[in-house]
Amino acid sequence: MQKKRAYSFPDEVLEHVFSFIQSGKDRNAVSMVCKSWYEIERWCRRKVFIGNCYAVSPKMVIKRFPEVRSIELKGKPHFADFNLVPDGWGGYVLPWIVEMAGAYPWLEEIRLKRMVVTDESLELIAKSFKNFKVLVLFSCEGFSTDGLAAIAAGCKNLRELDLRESDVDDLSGHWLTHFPETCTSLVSLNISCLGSDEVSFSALERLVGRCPNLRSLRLNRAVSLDKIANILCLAPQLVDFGTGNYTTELQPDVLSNLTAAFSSCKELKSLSGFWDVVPAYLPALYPVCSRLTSLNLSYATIHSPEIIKLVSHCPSLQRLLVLDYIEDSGLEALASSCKDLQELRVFPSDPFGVEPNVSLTEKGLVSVSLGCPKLQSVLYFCRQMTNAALVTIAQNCPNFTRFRLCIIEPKTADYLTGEPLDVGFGAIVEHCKDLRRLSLSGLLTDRVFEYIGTYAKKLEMLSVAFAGDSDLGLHHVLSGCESLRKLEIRDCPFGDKAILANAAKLETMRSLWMSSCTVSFGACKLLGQKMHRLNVEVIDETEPPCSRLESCPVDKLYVYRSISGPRSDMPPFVWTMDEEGDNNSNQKDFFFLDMFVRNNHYISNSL
Amino acid sequence: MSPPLLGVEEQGQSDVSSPPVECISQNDLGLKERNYLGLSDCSSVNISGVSSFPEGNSNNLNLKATELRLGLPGSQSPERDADLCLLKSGKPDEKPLFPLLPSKDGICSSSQKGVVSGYKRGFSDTMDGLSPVKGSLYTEKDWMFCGAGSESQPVGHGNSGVNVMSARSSGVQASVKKDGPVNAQATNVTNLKQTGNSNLNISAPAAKAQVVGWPPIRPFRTKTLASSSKISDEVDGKPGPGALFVKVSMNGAPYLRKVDLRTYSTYRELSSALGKMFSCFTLGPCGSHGASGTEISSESKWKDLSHGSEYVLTYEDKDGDWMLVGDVPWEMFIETCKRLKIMKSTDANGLAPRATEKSKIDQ
Repeated sequence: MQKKRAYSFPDEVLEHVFSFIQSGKDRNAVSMVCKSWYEIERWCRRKVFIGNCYAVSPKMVIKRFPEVRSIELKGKPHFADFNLVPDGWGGYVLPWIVEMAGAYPWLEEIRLKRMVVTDESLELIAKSFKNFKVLVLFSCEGFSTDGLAAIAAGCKNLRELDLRESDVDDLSGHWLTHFPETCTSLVSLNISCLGSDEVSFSALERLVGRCPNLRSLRLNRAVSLDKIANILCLAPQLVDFGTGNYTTELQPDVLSNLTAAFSSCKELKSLSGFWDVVPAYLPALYPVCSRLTSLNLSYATIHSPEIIKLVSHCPSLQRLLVLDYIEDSGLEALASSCKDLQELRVFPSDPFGVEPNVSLTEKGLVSVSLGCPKLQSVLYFCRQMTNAALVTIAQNCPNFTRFRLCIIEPKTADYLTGEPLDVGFGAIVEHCKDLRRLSLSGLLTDRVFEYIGTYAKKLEMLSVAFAGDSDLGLHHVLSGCESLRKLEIRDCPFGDKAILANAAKLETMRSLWMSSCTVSFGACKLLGQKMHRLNVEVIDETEPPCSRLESCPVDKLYVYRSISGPRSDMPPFVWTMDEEGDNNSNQKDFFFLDMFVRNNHYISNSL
Repeated sequence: MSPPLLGVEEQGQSDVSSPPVECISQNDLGLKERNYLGLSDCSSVNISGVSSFPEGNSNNLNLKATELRLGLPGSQSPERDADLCLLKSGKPDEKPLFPLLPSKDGICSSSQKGVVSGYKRGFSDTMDGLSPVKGSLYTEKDWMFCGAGSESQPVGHGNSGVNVMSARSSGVQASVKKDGPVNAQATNVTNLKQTGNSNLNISAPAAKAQVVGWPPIRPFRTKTLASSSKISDEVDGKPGPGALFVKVSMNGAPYLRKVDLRTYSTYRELSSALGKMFSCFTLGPCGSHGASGTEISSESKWKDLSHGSEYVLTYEDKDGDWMLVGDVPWEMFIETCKRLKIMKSTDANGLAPRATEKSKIDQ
């Protein structure tokens, strides 16, 4: 009798097989095969990614995956990067740390993005996880260098401390001295976001000197150029280096020392930093340029000729971040020198000026699209665009996975024809079949959304601002984009109809953000009442939405799927729409204030 | 109240009987195919109450455009865009999602309350409660202005669609100076510009007003650019770049706030805005919510508190010293201020004696 026994392996074997499956998606698929696979898989899952910290509660995660070693959490919606999400909205990591401290004593890695992290959380991490190795705080806030001191002192096996783009209360550079002399395990240290002018440089040097495995070091602006040579000589094995400010008084030795120091770094592939660049010192980089694959000059206020000179030494360049000082001429030079280019980001040097201060137009991007066949990812700020240029770009680069265009003035039309840019973006989505991320700008009608809904089948994230004419635009996107996970919209005339008609779609997505649109309070309530697995949050800092008519548009709406129901840490200006109507129990309680004063004591103590 | 709005509300409610889970429709029409040039019947897509929008109003819209009444705080943001599209493309068929109130006198605070727009809400309430600081310039035009933007809402956060960076000239005013009252008036013009419609007949501004969060650049980068340009002396008298966000804290408040110093031009504006922002912490969570009546009282309570010296505003300057706010000229202040703190005046005694003396004298 051949029963299922013949086809089943012992659990240990399956577990071993599963250990080769690293991707979260694949693991999720594995766990859906049958009950026993679900069980085996959950016990051996070591790495969990949670794209929205409010989609699930810490207890639920711990219950399902009891042996996690690495966790990644994301908090605030993306538009928080542009100050559209008010302070105090949420995204607190402390409740997660508290739960994990008890359940995951062997936790090794925590990666957070856009979350509020307090010194108390950091202290708890340092205390609770004996084998803690990796802390990445990407675009986080709420903590100070005191918390970092606790991490430095408490985590004996720390390998990675990466604070990229976080907002840290930089009280002093002395926290670096808290790394014990016995700490030799650092592989990656990124302190580029620290703002204070003091850096305990000797502590830094000693730390770098005793960590032979250090591969990635990104300094902050306070570290001056004359100190860099020393650091590089202590760590010639570096693969990724972020300078501090690239300026110092012109002295005879500095350039030669620096050049020698860079020459000794045979593995260096990636450079960043470059605040306040003195161009005379750029030639120090030439020894490493031929190996460089990634160069971030986006803080360097150097002009096109200097950029061209530098970039033309870098034939292996795959990734370039730069200010628009590069101009069209520089981009042309880039296109002819860097045939391996995969990612380009051009940032505006004067984003709030009315008139263009540099000669950077659509032509620059067209040149790059023509000259760099491997180009996949673009972020481009400019002041003018044409449909023809976009069509050309799309035809030249069918491999785009990320295309983000920001024409600085909202609703700018094709400057040659005066038409909306619908056709141009339409060409992008039509030709670039693997496009996963798209940001729109310029004058756009509902038509562009029709194109997007028709062609952008792999699109996962769409950002829209000042575009569209009516609900039909939004409807096209929600009904057509099969892979859509994140949709963020601001200042568009999209309202109730499209959302309500596509309510079920919202459960297949991570989140939807709409601010300054025309979604009525009544529709939000309806959505919240009917869709129990969605949290429908209405954000309004001036007055409760219930004090107005139901037909009034809400200021900001954030909808996300969740299996843990409405959250309980909302500030007074956030309301969750659920079965009982609009709900914010925290409005009335002083308990709320207590809870946060306790959790956020850094606010009162550190100032 | 305007009848069309009521129509919207009733219709919306009556059609929601037992919607299927997948598709909740507010009416049974669903979404029709349409001609994307926008010349088709819009009523199927718009909120139904608007379908009876009278043709005659399109003429009103044109008139109103030249009267610079469109897109004002207190009027409806979606309609603003629709109106502007209408003017731009000359298609009278396009109907705004919300009907315009027919007469400009009709735009007064109480009737507006129900029709407040996306990013200019709250001003009608402010107007109700507060005597307009910028007084006479506005009464004749009957506007809701967001020059009081700094007073009526937490600035720097998304709710304020308009943060005026600097004054602009316009076709209406001959010259606009960069200080309090005129700032506000200019703001109305900037509201129109906010929507990006360059076809309205407003003369080009001298400098741009800023939309919150646009262009989408992270604050770290803006801050870095700002200080870079100072170092390399590239700023030649033009208005400073970007926003100048500083953190504001208060003992006992559950979280910090960030404010953009560039959106204010006087200490009074700043203090007023902070008062509103933090009154809910001093007076309990309900302080800043509710009807305009409450808003008056919370604002005045704050003023009482600050004049009664219970709270003072202090700042940390570039040297790391804590000073009382108000001593140096405003321009100098925003250059040197790194962060703000609202302290009890008893805690502020250790601050620079000269500053404390001065404030005592002023009181």
